[in-house]
Amino acid sequence: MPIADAVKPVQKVTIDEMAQEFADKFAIVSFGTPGVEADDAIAVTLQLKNPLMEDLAVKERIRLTCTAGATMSLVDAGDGTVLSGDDSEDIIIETDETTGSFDLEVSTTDVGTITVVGGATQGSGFVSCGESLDLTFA
Amino acid sequence: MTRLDGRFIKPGSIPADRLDPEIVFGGGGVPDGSITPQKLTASLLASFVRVSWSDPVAVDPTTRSVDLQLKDLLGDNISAAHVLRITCDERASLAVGDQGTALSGDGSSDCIAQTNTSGRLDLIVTCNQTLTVSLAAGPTQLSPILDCRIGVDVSFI
Repeated sequence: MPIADAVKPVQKVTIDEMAQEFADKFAIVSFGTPGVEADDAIAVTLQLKNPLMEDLAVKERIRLTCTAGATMSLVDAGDGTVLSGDDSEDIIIETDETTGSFDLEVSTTDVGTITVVGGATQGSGFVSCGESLDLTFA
Repeated sequence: MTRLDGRFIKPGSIPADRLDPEIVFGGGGVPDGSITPQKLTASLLASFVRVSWSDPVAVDPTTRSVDLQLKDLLGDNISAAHVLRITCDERASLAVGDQGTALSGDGSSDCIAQTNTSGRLDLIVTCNQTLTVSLAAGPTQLSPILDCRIGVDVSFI
């Protein structure tokens, strides 16, 4: 038996072994490509992913905060729900259960960059919010 | 690459003739550095903490008790003291009962508490109005990785 076969089991966990059910217990917040600014507002979709970076269709509660001077809300008829703080710089949202997404609209009359960050809050699951979003308003 | 006994080996690998004779090739007998799904699961279970709730119990017309228990991903109890934030409707108040420790906000609608070493936290909910009070747990300073998606509704109706 070559040595390569002897060490093969070491540190090998395949994607198949890492069961989908396990991966789907962990949500990662990601942001899509922002839309074009219109009427001092930019729309962008927040999408939950699992650690395999596959879309995760679950309901998750997330706190979103942004740069002072801007406000956040749900796009008209968009996916998701605002639970509190609608039209403010500090809101708690719930993603759509069937898509795992939230259609966010950020508004400001200022010119410059608005940064949006997410975080875990009351009622959150295992959620990672390491990705922030920079929106440029002209 | 490292030169050993005239052979080059990859970092972390062990020549076959240097393996412990009790270690079986290719099986589950390579203890150091080997990761199997079973080992991974066992080692991670206590690191991911889920919040579960008992059914609320009526103590008197304005008081209910409800217990929080920490569980792992398999639904087994986690025996560890962890810190959580508990919030509820502002028309009600929360106090820590016999099990667990209040760290701040005891007697208010927004408290920070620690489970006992069995992972249990007893809560007393008080409300003078006729309504259903929703309780939610969440992470705060010193909290572990927490899944708090499940809340509990306490009825005063």
